[in-house]
Amino acid sequence: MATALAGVAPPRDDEFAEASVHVAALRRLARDPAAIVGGVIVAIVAVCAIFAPLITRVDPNAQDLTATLTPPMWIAGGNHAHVLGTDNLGRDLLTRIIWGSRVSAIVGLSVVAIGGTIGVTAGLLAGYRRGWVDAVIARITDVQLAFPLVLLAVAIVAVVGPGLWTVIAAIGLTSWVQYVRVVRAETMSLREREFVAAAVAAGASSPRILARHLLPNVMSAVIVLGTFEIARAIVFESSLSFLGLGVPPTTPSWGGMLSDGRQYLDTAWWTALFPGLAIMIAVMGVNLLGDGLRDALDPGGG
Amino acid sequence: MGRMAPRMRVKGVGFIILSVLLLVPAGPVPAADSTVTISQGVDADTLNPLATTITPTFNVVGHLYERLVDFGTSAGQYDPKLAVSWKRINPTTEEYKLRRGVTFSNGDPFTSADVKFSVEWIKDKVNVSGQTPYVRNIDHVDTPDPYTVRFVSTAPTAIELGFAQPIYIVDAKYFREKGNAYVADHPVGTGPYVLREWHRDDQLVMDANPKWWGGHVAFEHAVFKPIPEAGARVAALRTGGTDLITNVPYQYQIQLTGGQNTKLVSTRSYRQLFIAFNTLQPGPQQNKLVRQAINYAVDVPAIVKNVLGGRGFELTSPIPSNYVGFDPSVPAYKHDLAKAKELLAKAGYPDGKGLTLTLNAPTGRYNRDKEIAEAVAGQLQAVGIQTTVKPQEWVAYYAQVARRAETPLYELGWNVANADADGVVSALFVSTAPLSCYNNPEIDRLDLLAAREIVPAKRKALFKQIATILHEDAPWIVLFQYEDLYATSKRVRWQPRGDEAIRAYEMTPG
Amino acid sequence: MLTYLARRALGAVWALIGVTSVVFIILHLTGDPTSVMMPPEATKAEMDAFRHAQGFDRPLIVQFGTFALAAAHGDLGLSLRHQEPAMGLALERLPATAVLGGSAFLIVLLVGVPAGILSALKPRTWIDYTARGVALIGQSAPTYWIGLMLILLFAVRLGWAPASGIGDWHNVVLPAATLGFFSTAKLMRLTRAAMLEILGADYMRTARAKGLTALRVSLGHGLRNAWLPIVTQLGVELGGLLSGAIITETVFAWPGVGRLAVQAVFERDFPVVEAVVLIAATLFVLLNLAVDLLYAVIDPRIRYA
Repeated sequence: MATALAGVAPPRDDEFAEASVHVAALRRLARDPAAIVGGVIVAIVAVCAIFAPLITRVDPNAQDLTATLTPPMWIAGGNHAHVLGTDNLGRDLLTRIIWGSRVSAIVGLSVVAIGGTIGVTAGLLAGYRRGWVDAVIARITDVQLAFPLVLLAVAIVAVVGPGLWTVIAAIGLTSWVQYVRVVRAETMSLREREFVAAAVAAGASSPRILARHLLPNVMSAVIVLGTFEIARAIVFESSLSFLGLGVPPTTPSWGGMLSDGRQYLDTAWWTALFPGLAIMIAVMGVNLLGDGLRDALDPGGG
Repeated sequence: MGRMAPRMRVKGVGFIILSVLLLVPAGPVPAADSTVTISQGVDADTLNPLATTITPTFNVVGHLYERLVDFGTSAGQYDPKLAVSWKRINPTTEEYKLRRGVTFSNGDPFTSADVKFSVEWIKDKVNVSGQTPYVRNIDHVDTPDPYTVRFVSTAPTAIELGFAQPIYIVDAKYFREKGNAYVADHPVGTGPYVLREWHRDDQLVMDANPKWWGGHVAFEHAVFKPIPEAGARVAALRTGGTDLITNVPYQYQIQLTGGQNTKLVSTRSYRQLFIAFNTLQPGPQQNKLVRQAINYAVDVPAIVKNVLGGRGFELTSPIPSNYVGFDPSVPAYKHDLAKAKELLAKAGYPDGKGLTLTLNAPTGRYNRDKEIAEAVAGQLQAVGIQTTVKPQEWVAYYAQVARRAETPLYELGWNVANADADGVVSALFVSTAPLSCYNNPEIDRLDLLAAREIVPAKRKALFKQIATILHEDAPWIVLFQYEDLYATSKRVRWQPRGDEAIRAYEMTPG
Repeated sequence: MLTYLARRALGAVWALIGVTSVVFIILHLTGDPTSVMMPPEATKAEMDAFRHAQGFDRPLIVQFGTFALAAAHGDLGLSLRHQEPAMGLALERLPATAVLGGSAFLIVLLVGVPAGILSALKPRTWIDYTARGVALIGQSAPTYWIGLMLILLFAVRLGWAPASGIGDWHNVVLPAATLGFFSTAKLMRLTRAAMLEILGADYMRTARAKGLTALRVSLGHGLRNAWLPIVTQLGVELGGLLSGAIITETVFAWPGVGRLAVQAVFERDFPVVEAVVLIAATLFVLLNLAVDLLYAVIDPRIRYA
């Protein structure tokens, strides 16, 4: 990913030019049909996540042990009360999928917030300061890169105990390193540019230079990377559920539903298919949007 | 694809590289019709029978090694193996006459010295065996002659020491010569099979022991092929990759029963699942009325029917009805919402208002452990009790339970291999037991009496007293015993046992 | 070149020390394996005696010192579960993982790259759309779900391949496809993008105008340029395959390092986890080095000093 993104964001020398470039990028984005599809999917997920209690009045944890594994309504044995059928405890799948979008959204955004903050800060510092700061960050990055991610996440969840925020922390702490690589490379080339030299000459402090001049210029690359990291986080959450380390079941999550449903793939396929589709469609949407953003922000490249 | 089909020779550069990389098990391959392949969820952790404590490993080493006396197929019944007869000499001494003419697979003769060595190996701190609890009541072992051993205990015990626990007999001379690391994967026992090869997590192949005292076994070769994922286990059986699978999820029962070459076999397990109240921690669960109300609120038959597909047996008491010590006249809780609500109101929680509980449960440890906890939580929700389920992986979960910490409600499974009530009471209700969150001096006193009582009728009366107190005080939500589901291919005939043991030598071609 | 290698080696040693230390501390914080190594009816005194005999009751720093000292001499200790040298147990399973990872990598290389090139050469055709569609699915479906679906379809319904276990090449196909799916998708998309960029470059347009021979020459040049990002990504993906193997091996009962690692983490078999992590980290470091050296071969302009 790093190489694909290198050169994504042509550095701009003043902020007005920056703004107009972003407007142009948005225009390009609006003309890209794939990106529009992606955007619509992401919007639907966002609406579900925010308005879940309004969209469905059913309690996602309400069980009905007399109606377990009810098939979807269009199949013999199904009924209108449960459009997509029910799971092994008789909970309504559609309701849980709508509520599950919350977990996916929270996980995706939080992971990007955690990983992005750590990674961008470290990347900016490493690229701008160089010297020992760069060396120390590079060493830590090496350790993190050499670590099998799944094992690290498993260990973290085992230490802290299960929970939504544990899952987020575990995935977040495995994602920062991606940003460091991209941001450091960008910063390295930016700091040689005239506008940075000008700011230094004008007596601007380092934090100011980092925040006002360098950060805005690496943001395009970070946004594109962040989009793909959201997608990765959603899939990762379901992998943790597979290993029995996911979000506790009273918080409906797609990963947890898919993981529970996998035992019924052969008998009550809907319990695995629909959460699986939800994950796939959401991730696909995010990925399409990410592709669109990348193309839009970097009209020259592929 | 044959069960153990000859490896195919494949052309093409890629596959030549692969074949080179692939360290295929060498050696001649047994014919399929004399082989039975068994798939559990995990592989054996060691082949030293004195170093393990888990059922899947006992199932493997049980083919290579033997005990003096083995658990029979029903509670309180024991089968002679390396011992042919036994008797109590006095309340603290029991004597076993050993089978003569038995040799280990390396030719060493089996004598009383091997029995003494096996017990002492476990007791020896240097070996750090997890089995020390199995021999805790054995003070020492005497060997008056090569074919007689005496187990001497510090206090009288109701069940013979030689029976109560799975102590396997190893070759003393071989163990001393080769050392612990070597014997861990070079087993030498007296059992009906000997090891041919073991590729960890792949397969463990055994051949019939021609010198076995028990005679001929129906399957010349027994193979253990672990498959962790339940769905993959079922798929392997359906495609002929294995002959017997454990822990079959109930939802496959129709396909496997009606399958072309598969059949479903089951048995009532000795394992029960329960939810305990932590009565040692402050909280609403210390209120007896709340505990009783919850027992009335939980609809066990509905859980068994819908979460286990009917494959379970509702229990009336922590002492299950297939255990020694069960008494049917002890009262039981039946699902009764009105009564639950009434008791809740009496306890000061009308309609469950203000009552929030956390239910801790392990994931992947027992059949449907997490789902059952969720179902119970759902039923408590129905009488207004807010219940949050907190599932955890086993080690972290167990550490928390063993600390008796922060778990108002916790789910555990319990299996007593000899199906004796003392195995439940002494480990789960006596105040000093690490897994007990209950403190009742009367129970402590009664259980100590029962553990030392040799007269069966008196013992039964003691357990009835215990069960009656436990009913009234309700330190558990009593749930159910599992019906263990196995599936086999049609070429194998086998009847499963309540203690979860799998023995290839008890199988016949079907 | 030599100083470069020395510096890389030093960095690698640092990474390995860091990784093993982090693993040690994290795992020991999660509790010791006494509860899985003793029967549940064990009393507190019995468990404490066991802990003491195993040394689990010593202060973490002492345990770490002992471990570090032994590890520095190449001894990670005995597996707590298996009572055998941990490193041996892990190395014993390495071939199986190598076969799985290698096959998956072959799929990535032989499917992902050609599909990407083809898709770029025929943009907006059914080839392009199919390839991109499959790639999108590959990038968005969880590994274990793909694995279970493949078992259901190809093993149970169609009977074309065994459902699980190791054996001849039939057994490799499904797990390798599962493991390689995500990376194949990623590589396909990357290759396509890289190719499109090259095909759009000025010199290619000129070459096209000049005729087929010139086009072929330029395509050669173009591919050489495209290889750089592709090789980088292949390196990253091969590293990722190790991580992905953890789940694939569990689904397909594949007797590899990943399955061992998961079991060891859940059983708190510290020495085995350390061994696996050490192996994985070493492979990762070597892989990166190989990729960097490959750069120099592909693009002679790159020099390491």
